[in-house]
Amino acid sequence: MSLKDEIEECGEILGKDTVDSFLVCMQCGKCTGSCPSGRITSYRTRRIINRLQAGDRSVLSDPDLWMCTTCYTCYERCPREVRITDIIRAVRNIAAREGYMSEPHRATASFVIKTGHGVPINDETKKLRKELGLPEVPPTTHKYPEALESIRKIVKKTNFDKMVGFDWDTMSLEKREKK
Amino acid sequence: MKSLVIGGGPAGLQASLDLANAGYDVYLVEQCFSLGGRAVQIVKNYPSLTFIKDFMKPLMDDVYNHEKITVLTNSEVIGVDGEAGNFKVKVEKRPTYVNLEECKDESCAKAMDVCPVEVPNEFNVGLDKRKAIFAPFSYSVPSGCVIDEKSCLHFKDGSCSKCSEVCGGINFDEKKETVEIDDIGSIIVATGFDPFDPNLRPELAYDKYKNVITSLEFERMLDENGPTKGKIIVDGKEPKSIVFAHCIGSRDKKVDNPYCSRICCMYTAKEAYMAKEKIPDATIAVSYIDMRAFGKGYEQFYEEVQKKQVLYRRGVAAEIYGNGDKVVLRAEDTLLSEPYEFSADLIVLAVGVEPRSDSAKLANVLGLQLDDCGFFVEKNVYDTCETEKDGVFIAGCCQGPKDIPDSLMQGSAAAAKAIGLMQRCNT
Repeated sequence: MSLKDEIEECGEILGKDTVDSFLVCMQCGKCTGSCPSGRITSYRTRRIINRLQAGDRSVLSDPDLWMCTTCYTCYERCPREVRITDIIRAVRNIAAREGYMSEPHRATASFVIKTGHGVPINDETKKLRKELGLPEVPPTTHKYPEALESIRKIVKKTNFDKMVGFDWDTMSLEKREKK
Repeated sequence: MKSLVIGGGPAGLQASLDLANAGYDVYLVEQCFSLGGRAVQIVKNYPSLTFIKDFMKPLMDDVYNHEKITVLTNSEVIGVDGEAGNFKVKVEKRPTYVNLEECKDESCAKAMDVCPVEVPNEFNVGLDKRKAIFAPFSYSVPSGCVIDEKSCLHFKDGSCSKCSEVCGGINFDEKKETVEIDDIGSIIVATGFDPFDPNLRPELAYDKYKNVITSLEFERMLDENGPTKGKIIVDGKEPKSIVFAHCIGSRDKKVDNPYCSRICCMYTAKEAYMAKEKIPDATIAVSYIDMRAFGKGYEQFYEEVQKKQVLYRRGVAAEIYGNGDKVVLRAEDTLLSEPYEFSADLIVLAVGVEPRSDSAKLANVLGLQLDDCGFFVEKNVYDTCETEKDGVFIAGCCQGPKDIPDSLMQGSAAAAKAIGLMQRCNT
């Protein structure tokens, strides 16, 4: 399967027109120039799109792929209406399937499995909520722990646990060698 | 049999002249107070660097003085009936309130002197002010003054008639009239374009900083007869670093302009060249996507500009922000794959060509089609002058973006088509 077909498949939920839009990138650099992440990292949005156009699979193992903060600035500004951020997400799905998920993203995934939250609540947030007159605990899995079981069911059913390498016995991530 | 030409820019002027020289009576209808179109706002042409005035002024005079051409300025086509070979046309002629034949020497200058109203001068894109009675520009045709009733106090509340005290040519009672012309064999539409409004790209901060300007504003500064007397001055200072940003409102689907405006690469090259001539020690850079120097002599001119040490960096302007007195252009150098920032005294946005905002109205009057972008639709790719409507031809930027030589050429081509049609109708 070509990289383009894989991207289409992985971005199925977004629609073919959305994920295919990388084909019409004209390499103007509006995205990279607008990218808050690229200012402080080696992430070059345009280069990712460029390599996708060229069918360059090395993009899947490139740690840069995970430097996008999904702020959607490039998406908003792209003069060819390339759905950049959505495409990055679709490509990350392929990369994750092939075992290239970045460690911070794996850690976030493990929080979802363990608590139902990518960013679980902490004492500071609880205090802030109280000050604002809100219930200390929000009406999520924090308040309804039984809902966590539903989330875990989904995680198992979709093999998300295997993809991120979650060990149910230790309730933590398996160690992964850097590929 | 007569011919109608709508629009008095390069394409319309050339079409009128060719038709008249072939023996046809021509009615040239121009919406503005003067002939010339937008070309007269430009100082020098590329790649020749010749003064546009030296070409346009004689062309405007030839048309205006031609015995076979009736020029109706400050006028608009409001109705068209009939068919190829026999159109009937209604033109609304608005008053200028100044009878130029009654004007005495220097009475114009006196009238402008006493007029108490000051409004932004459209011709200089707001860089200076004009009075309510004013001469459109230094070499406008017809020459002399006109009164803009939208800003004149006489028409607002009747409180002022000072100009009429110093000039015998003023007549506030002039009324608009409808001119009906029949026996029109052919119509040539040459209504031109609008420049892109960079506020539609808010990340470029055009309305936020005085030293972020459009290429048209920059062009007006290059004019010896312009608001700065030909000096490049921003906020009272001569800039020592200038960045030109290509493709503002062109090749941009986000603002519904998916097309290339065709003129910006080269007019920017020319503006960069002229900037370097005026301020030799200035640092000048150009941010571009692709350099399109497709015309005869254009690529060589691009080279001349590079020899002037104008630095071309590939990558479109991503965003602009202010830093003290400077404005900073942020972009990616796409050849180096490195983001960079250029801190400058002045950023010039090379705004693109847009269809005129009133073209839908005219299309309706004429029964013409507009394309997805808003330009008039030509018959097909091999015939860009004819339209689906028999006897109605298009020329210049109303058909699609193009530079002055191409507009003139299409004006001539449309005239030749019109002459052919009228010849056939006669036999």
